[in-house]
This record gives sequence, structure tokens and C-alpha cells, in this order.
Amino acid sequence: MIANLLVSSVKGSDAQYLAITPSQVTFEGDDVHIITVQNIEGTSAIREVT
Amino acid sequence: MSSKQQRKKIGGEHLQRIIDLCTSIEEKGLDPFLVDVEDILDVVREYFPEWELPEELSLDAETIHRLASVIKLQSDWVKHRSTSLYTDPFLLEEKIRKLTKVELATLFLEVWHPIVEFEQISPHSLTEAIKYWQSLLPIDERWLQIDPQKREAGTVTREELIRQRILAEKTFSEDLEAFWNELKEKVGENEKILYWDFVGANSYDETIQRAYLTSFLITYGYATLEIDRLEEEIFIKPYEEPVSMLGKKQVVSIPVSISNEEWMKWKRGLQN
Repeated sequence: MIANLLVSSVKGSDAQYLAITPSQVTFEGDDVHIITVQNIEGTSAIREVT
Repeated sequence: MSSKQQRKKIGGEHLQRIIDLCTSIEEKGLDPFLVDVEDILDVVREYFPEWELPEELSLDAETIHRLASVIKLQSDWVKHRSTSLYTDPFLLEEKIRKLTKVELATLFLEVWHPIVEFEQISPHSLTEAIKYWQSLLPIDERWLQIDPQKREAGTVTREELIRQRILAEKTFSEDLEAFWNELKEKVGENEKILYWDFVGANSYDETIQRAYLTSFLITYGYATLEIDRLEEEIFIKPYEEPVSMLGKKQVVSIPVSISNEEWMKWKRGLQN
């Protein structure tokens, strides 16, 4: 709910926002880029959701 | 009433008023010079020939006793004022008022004792500090530059992340609502269902997931638990509408074990 609130509050503006969360995310809509960083055996695995 | 009795009555009232005045000066710390000793002695002297009864004489003695206490207070006041250390506050105020700004500032300067912060280090602390300093590595060794490792960002699909439970397909509240509807469907006309019959699933992982969601259904007032202590059975009873229990009754936590053994037992029971 908080995530959706954040997304809806910046919708329509020219600005881009970066939200960092350690929890499971649920974003609706295609305007959101999701990048995940996972610590796998001491190495950070970075993946962008396509 | 005869004129003698009338006079005695007035005299008695007079003495009582004097006693009250002296007592209040003593008790409330009022100025003892409010009492005119000579006047009072005249009054006492005037009525003294009238007193005949013991209680009348006792009142007269009480008056003299109280008056003596006030005279003592007057005496103490005079002694205090006559000491060399005493300065009348009114005189002092007057004196300060008459001072010019420069004189006042000069006086303040003369009595001013600035407080200086003073810190000391002991030879022992100094030795400890030197030892610490000498044991330190050179600064260029301490501040080693850590080269960040460059990593290429990979790509991942939304579905993959949902499978890994990093992304959620639905919000938690949506999940909960769907789960509540499932509970209502399973219960049907029976009003309630055995806890394990609802929570239990084909895999242990799924069972844990369902037990987790069930706990939220109960906490958020979508359902309640009914415990049959004789049969040692737990039932889940869904509500038609979510019910808020906040402030209505005492909320209790019910621990339910969902161990792998419990799940296996339930699974075997199903097969039989």
C-alpha cells in the first residue's frame, strides 16, 4: 500500500524518484523500473527487471 | 445582669482578644512591634481587681504569658538589628539606586570572579596516549583505498522474481481477501472447518504459507478460532464481515504447532 502510494504521488510529474526497500515489493503499472540487488555468497547480484 | 458581671464580661473579652493577637504574632511571624505593650498592660491592670474566680485569674495569667512572649520577640528583633552584619534592605536598595552606571559596573567588576575551565592530564594518561599513538599504523596504511568491483547488471523477468518471492503478484491485503473467500467457500453451510483441513496442503511449504495467512485472517478479524479442549481440536470460523476486536474483549494469542510431523500425521489421516 505504501509503495503504491509513493508511485501514485509522483505520477504525472517530470521528476524521477528512487525508493529503496528491503521487503517484498508489489508495484502496479509499467512506469516503474525495478532493480534488485541480492547478496549471493558474499557477492552482490544486480538484476534489472525487464 | 449586674454592672459588675457586665464589666467582668467585657474585661474577659478584652483579655481574650489580647491573647489572640499575641498568639497570631507568634505563630505567623508578624511584626512584634504591632503590639503596644504599655497599652495592653494598662488594660490588664484595669481589669485585674475584678478577677475572683480561678478561671478568671487563669485568663489574666495567660494574657501576661502571651505578652511576655511578644516582648521576647521584640527583644530578639532589636538584638538582630543591632548586630554589625545587619543592613536594612530598604537602605541597601536606596544605596544601589543612587549609584551611577559606572560605579555599579566598577563594583561588579571588583567582585567578578570568572570561572576558568581547568583540565589536567595525569602522567599515566599521557603515557597511555603515547603508547596508543606509537602502536598506530601509518595513516596511508590505515586508509587503504578499497577498489569497488564493477559488476554488470543482469536482467530478470517479472515472473522469475515473483517465483523467487522478491516481487509479489498481489498485495498482501489482496492475498488475504482471496484467502478469506476460499475459507468461506470451504466452510459452506457448516459454519466452521477443522484447522488442519483448511491449512493443510499438498506440500509442507504451502501448509506453512497457509498457516501464516490464516494467522493474519484471525488477527485482522476475518475469522476466529474455536477450540474443543476435550477432543483437542481447533476449528476456524469465518466472519461474514471483518470484525474489529480492538477494545471489545481481551485478545489472546493461541500458539499452533505446524511441525513437519504434524503435517505428515494430517496427510496420513487424509490417505486413510
